[in-house]
Amino acid sequence: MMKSLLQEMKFFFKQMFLVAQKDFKSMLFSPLFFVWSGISFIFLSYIFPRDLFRFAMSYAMPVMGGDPNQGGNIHFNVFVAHISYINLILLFSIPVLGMKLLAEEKQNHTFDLLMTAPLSSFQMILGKYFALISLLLVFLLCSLFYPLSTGLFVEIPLGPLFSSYLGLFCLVVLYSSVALFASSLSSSLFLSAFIGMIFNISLWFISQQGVGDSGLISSVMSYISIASHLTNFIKGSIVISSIVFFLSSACFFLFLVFKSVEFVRWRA
Amino acid sequence: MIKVHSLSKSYGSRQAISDVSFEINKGEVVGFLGPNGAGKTTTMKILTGYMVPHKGSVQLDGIDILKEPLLAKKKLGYLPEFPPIYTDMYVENYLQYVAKLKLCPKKEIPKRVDLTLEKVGLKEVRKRLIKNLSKGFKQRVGLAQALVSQPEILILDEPTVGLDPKQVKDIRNTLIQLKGQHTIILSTHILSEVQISCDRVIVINKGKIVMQDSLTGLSQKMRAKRQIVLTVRKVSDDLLLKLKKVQGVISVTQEDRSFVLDVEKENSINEDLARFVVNNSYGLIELKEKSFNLEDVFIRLTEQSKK
Ligand SMILES: Nc1ncnc2c1ncn2[C@@H]1O[C@H](COP(=O)(O)OP(=O)(O)OP(=O)(O)O)[C@@H](O)[C@H]1O
Ligand SMILES: [Mg+2]
Repeated sequence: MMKSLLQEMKFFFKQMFLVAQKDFKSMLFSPLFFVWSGISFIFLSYIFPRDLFRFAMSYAMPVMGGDPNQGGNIHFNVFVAHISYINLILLFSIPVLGMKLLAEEKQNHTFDLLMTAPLSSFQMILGKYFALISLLLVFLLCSLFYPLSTGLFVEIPLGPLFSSYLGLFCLVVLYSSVALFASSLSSSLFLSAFIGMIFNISLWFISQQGVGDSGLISSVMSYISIASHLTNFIKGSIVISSIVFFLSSACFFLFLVFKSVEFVRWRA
Repeated sequence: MIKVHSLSKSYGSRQAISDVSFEINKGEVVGFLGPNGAGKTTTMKILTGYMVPHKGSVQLDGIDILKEPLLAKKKLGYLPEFPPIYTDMYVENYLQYVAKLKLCPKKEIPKRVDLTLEKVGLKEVRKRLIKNLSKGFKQRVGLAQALVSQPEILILDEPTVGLDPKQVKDIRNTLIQLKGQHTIILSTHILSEVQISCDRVIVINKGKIVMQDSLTGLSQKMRAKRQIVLTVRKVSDDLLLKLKKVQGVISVTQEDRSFVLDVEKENSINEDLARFVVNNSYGLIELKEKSFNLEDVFIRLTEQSKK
């Protein structure tokens, strides 16, 4: 009994990783990823030193800095800007990087292969999802090089930096599930990238409304506000409810992907 | 090996297939014949577990595809209407990937890939990008992915459509060599294709099975009636009546300068007709045996089933 359960789990992960590996490779070695990461890193390589230089200037002239506690904090003055640029990059590029995952399979008819292979829809979806997350993990790790490199010259607050990156990772988890959902809706690459972006932007907009309200609505609104959760991470605190928020929203979108894939089976 | 019991499927309000049932024995090669839109692809998608029917059941080697899809799919090789190929992969890597996906034992994969490349004649292009192959070779890659897991059941959806005559011949030869190794269902709208490669034929039209028969049975049914088309230069009013009186002619219909004659099966009728036209100097342009295309077969088969 125990043994067969183990075998089944092994089988589940084996097939899932097979799909993940294939999609990860095909995204990593695609010209799109090459060009996109090139542009992103050129952008970051311009912005980051510029912010760092400005910060160094204001640090040299403390008269100009306002708050004595935060004025001298490299995390809030330089790193947070870096983090929010990365957020912006992720917001727009994850739908583009992930658009091919299901839409292209449909376009090339390779979807038929996956649907008729001994592979459940669930394994296929998770495989693709993890492929996209792994790809962005590579990007995140590379981008961590900028703040870490300043550590060679000055002392940097590592705690908030890592919790901010955990926050970014949570965003990746959410955006990727949205991108996969957008990709499952049609066989058009353009449409799936576009829909993904719209969804991502709307997720941010929902949070904007919460500000003025009061009572229950306000607390619900602030719970589904990405901004407030991200702020927690940026401030250096790892709040479990924030992690739960990102994970459960990602699960929600993955469930939609599952429904959308299964819809093909039932109607086509 | 394959048991299909009263399948029905509709897309929205359009009924694609209704009450389709058939059985196929182990090792048989069965042609699934029907015109465009008959429901061939739909039936095959249900057989392969891609789609769920609204009614009915499918058993592959005793396993119900709806209840145990993973087990049943292991027994299948499927070539869809459009070959399911990743254009950014190399032929060899693609086949390895499919073999893994179909759960082939790891040790056997290189051997099976080699064997499959050999079978479909792709040895020289094994290290090429699929993107750069010609349409015929892409189709072969599609066939290769269906074969690579050495499945018991092969389901091929119009394997020769859109290829040039030489490629068509090559693929047909490959199929003939596969006989006996797999149970094969092969859909097509070309009658001669069935005659070349299949043991048995299932004819489907407008979502319903019109006929199931062995190949010899089919040709007998087709030969039951003979038609001749006669075209002349000078048409006179009484020609129609006169043609009817020729020995062996059953009925005549006129289309402008052509006459379609239902005739008896005796062989001298062509000669008699020619002599009649020439002797009365109507100006013979053409006299030919009407060949039956698929449409005629369907019309005939549906007529027969009504009677
Ligand atoms: N996705 C779909 N949505 C709506 N109707 C569909 C869909 N796919 C097929 N149909 C309809 O179902 C019927 C059967 O189609 P099917 O593709 O099974 O025919 P076919 O025999 O494979 O034809 P062909 O020889 O053209 O490939 C057709 O009338 C077609 O218009
Ligand atoms: Mg078809």
